[in-house]
Parts: sequence; structure tokens; C-alpha cells
Amino acid sequence: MATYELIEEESEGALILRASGKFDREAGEAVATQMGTHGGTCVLNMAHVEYISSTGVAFLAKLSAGKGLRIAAPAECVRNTLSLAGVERILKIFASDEAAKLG
Amino acid sequence: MLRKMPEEVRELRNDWPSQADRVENLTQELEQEFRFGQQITKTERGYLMGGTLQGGSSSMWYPATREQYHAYKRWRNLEGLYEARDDEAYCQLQRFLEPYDIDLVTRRQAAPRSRRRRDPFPHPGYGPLYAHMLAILPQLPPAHLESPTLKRIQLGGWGPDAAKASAYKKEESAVLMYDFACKGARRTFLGLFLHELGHAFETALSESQRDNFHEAYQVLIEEDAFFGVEFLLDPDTRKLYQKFVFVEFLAETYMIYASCGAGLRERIEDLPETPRAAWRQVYAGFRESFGGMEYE
Repeated sequence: MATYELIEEESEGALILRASGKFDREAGEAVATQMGTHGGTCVLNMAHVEYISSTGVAFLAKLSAGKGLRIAAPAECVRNTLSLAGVERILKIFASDEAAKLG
Repeated sequence: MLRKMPEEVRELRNDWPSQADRVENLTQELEQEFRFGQQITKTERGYLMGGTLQGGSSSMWYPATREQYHAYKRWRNLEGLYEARDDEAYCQLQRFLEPYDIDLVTRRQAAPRSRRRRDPFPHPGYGPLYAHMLAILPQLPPAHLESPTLKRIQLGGWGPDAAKASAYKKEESAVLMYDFACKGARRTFLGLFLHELGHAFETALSESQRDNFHEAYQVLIEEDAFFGVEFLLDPDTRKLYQKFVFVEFLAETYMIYASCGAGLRERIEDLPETPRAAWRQVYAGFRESFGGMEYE
């Protein structure tokens, strides 16, 4: 059973993914798949993520630093964990979906 | 001049072997979480997995099971740091640091925004950490320890505005090994400690030394030819980190140069011509900065 939820919506040509629950390897793989299918600007809203695992952090690093995924409104626990891992400097993090869409 | 880092540091050159088949109920995913610093705690609400973010006030707690709790305890006995006295290591470390005018402090009790900067005396329970540091520091060039960019080593405490595992504070010439690093996996502490010492090193580089490294770094970016050592994060993420931030590349290479010595030299020689030439330039720059000192 998946421990995360990923809701997709389109907004002005951008794909917005809203993640909630536990952001782990499975969630990271699902985001990677969605990004591959869409091909355009992709925003991952993490406002309702309750827990991010170390593999979740690794996925964010690969998808954001490596493939341009924009992270919007990360929950405090996400922000803290990214800071802890020292990777927040290489990620594209924005305060809101709107800011993320504008880049 | 060939030096040898202690065996537990030299282990960084190898893959991090899984303990999953030695510890009951330890899955590889759970193991990765523990190695990342997550703990399982028994609470009134049941078992919860989470970190020690910001003095333990983290909101990141996730339900866990009794079996996972026991797996955590057993994993911790194998790979985790624990508190114990080692007064001899502490005294020897203080004696070692004194001529270099490096202050050893601990900051255990302070809350994130506390004004209290340090414990009155270094915490005696950090014995295993003192022993590790005592094994590492004498293997570094005296010039690195005499550097004005390294005046304080702090164990424990929290980052000023966010959770951090460790940091180098340039304005205070201080290596800060925060609470998270002092309570997690031993391998992570060792890797982070050398990485932060690498920041003290790179801060002291002259402009021409920095330019020399940067020239090679540009080639390594184009060739995507970084080396990744697993601690805290997986090797691929550590490579990405270096690729995007030049000073992180320098700090990480310092750690790799000192801990992986022969392994690094071998891997450089195995590379295709262009990245090999760039890595030779980096290696030669490090060797010079280490006063000719290389590592087994």
C-alpha cells in the first residue's frame, strides 16, 4: 500500500504535482515517471508531506538539480531534512506554485 | 611521504556494507533511514521514527513498529555512535590541540536559539568522538592545523536557523559537528568531520591555488567525472552536490584525498584521458597543499 499521495493538475502548461504523506523512494519514482511523461515545466508541491526519507531526499536532488524539477512550498519537515542533508543549495525551491511556475 | 588514516576512516573508500542480514527485521530501506540519522523512539503514542532535527522539536515523526524499534537498537550497536567516557583520549586530544591553538568545545544543552554558546567543560561522554578525532588529526599536515582558518572544533548543539548535520563557520574559523552528527552513524561522523576540515582547508587557499582547482573543476563538470563516497547520502547525491557547488567539491575532495588515498589514485588512472588529466591536476594541487603528504 502506498504511503504517499500524488495529485496531478495542469496549470498554464505546467504540471503541478501535490504530494502528501511519506515522500520515499516509491513517491520519488512516481514523480520521475510523471516528469518523463509530461516533458515540460514540472512543479512538486510538498506543503503536505509529513515525512521525507533519505531516498526521498536523493530523488529530489536528482530530479531538481539534475532535471529541473521545481519544488514548491515544502513543509517544515522537508525543509529541515534538506538542510540537514546539505542539499538545499542545489535544489530549485520556491515559496509557492506560482513562483515555481515563473521559475 | 605516505600516511595512513585509521582503519575506520579508510573504510570510507569501500561501499557501505549492509547489516540487513545480520539484524533481524532490518530492511535495506530502514537501514538507509538509520544511516541518515533517523531514530525510532518509544512514546506514549507508540513507536515513532524521526530525526533529532532542531533539538528534538522536529515535527517529522512517522509511525513505526516494535520490531523496527528493536532493529534500530541492534543496528545502533553495530554502526551507531554512543556516549561513553574516554578521559585518556580527551586529555590526549586537548594536549594535541593546544600547540595549534585550536579550542575544543561542546554545546550539548543549548536550545536552537539559546545564547549559551558552550558547555562549561567539554562533555566527558563524547569519549568515542574524542578518540576518533585523536586518531585523525595527527595524520593531517601540521600546516593545516596551524591555519588561522581552524581555531575551534565544536561537538553538539544546533544550527542557528535550520537543522544541520555539520558546518564550517568561516567568520569564526570553526568546524561545527552538530548534535545530529554526534548521535548518528559512526561512518557519517568521520566523513563529515573530514569534509568540514576540508572547508577550513579550502578557505585558506590562495587565489592562484583556487584558480588552478577551478580550471580542472570546469572540465570535471563537463565530463561529469566526480567521485562519490557514501555517508549521510548516497554516492550519486554526493557527486551532484560537488557538481553544483565548487567549495563543496574542494571540501569533499579533501575528505576523499585523506581517506581514500590509494583508491583515489587508482580511480583517477582508470578514467578516460580528459577527466584523468583534470583529476591529475586536482590531485597534484592537493598533494602540494598537503606538503607532499599522500595517503595509503
